[in-house]
Amino acid sequence: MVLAGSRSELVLWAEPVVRSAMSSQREPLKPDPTLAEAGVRAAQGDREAFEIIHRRLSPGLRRLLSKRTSDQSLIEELVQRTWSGVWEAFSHGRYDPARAAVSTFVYAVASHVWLRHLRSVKKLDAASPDELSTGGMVEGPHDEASLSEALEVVRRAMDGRLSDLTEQERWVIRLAAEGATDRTIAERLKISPSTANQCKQSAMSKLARVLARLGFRPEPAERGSMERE
Amino acid sequence: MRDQRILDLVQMASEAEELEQSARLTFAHTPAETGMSWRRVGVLGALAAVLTMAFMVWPRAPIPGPPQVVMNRPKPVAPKAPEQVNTGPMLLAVFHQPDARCDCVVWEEGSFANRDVREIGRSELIEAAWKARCADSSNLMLVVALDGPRELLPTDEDSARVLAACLSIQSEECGAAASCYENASEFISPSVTMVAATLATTGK
Repeated sequence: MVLAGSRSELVLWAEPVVRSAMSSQREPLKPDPTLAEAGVRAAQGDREAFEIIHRRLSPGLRRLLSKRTSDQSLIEELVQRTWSGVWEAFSHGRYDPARAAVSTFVYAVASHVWLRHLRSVKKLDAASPDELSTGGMVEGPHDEASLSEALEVVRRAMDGRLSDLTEQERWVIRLAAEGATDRTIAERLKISPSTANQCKQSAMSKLARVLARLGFRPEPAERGSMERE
Repeated sequence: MRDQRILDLVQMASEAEELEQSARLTFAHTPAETGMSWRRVGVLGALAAVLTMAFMVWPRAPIPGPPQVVMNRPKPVAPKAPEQVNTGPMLLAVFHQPDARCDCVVWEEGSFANRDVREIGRSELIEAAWKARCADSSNLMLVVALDGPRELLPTDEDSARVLAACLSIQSEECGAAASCYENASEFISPSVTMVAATLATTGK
């Protein structure tokens, strides 16, 4: 269903209809601080802010880990380890809110926790390089701060806030990252496979340049950070 | 190998974005407010219980009851509640012009039939909205999936436009920053679960 109209028209009659259409509308809740605000406070050691981050991100963290393992007790243990790592990083000043969103940082800690888990169960030794090919792409010290900074750059590039990736390049590389082949991408975007490949290469070059400007070089340094068990 | 590393980073960044979006599913009071509220409920509940007990055990003269009348009535038939048709999360996509004007709105039910809205990822949201797009020249697409009691969701074109307008109000200050749209939760009942994603586009 497509509804056309200008925003100004919509705004004019928005309020009365909101009240009738949403009959149980309550007084606006006093919102929690945004994650960004909580991240800044938590980085300064504010425990209450940390609890807000913990409360708001834990469900998503469980969902992410459940994509990698179905063992619920393991998921709970990894979630606990992640939060323990996050708190430790906050306490030791290893999180800089100016460099990465707190969600990105928590994700980076979780990916390291997952990597350590994989190591502990000897998955990495058993797997061939091609079997475990995800994660830990940053050169140099593979700490959470560096990984989160690299991920933040990519996040910004992918939602158009950074780099000159075109819309088509963002689509192509997003699909490619999900494992789609050039042919599949071409079918889904109704372009030729060669165009899909060109877009992918162009997008990757641009991303590599952006990462390089920040001192990151995507080399095969670590493996398996968020790969499924 | 370098290419695979970049693709891995893109995938991880996408998951980090999903993690942030999951934080918007909770429309919670601050702990202090919640604690105060429950304390009040607890005190009122305890007071009510004490009054009830006092009323039950208070000595009073026996009151003769009314004569008992037995009537044979047909067994009442409970009215059947209208069957709720839940078609799953609702998709709402708002396409913005470069000047922040709302270009057009797509409103669909059934795009995510039988899905838990919290499991819908950013790329799924954007792909669904992109397939149904109504504008080629917009520079920002805001996509929202909503689920909850049907009476709290847009039920027709008008209420869908209203919600789109409410969300659009945020766009001038939020731009493409998806997390900023959490302010829009003021327009949505806390009983409604919402996931949102944005895609900045270059237009044609």
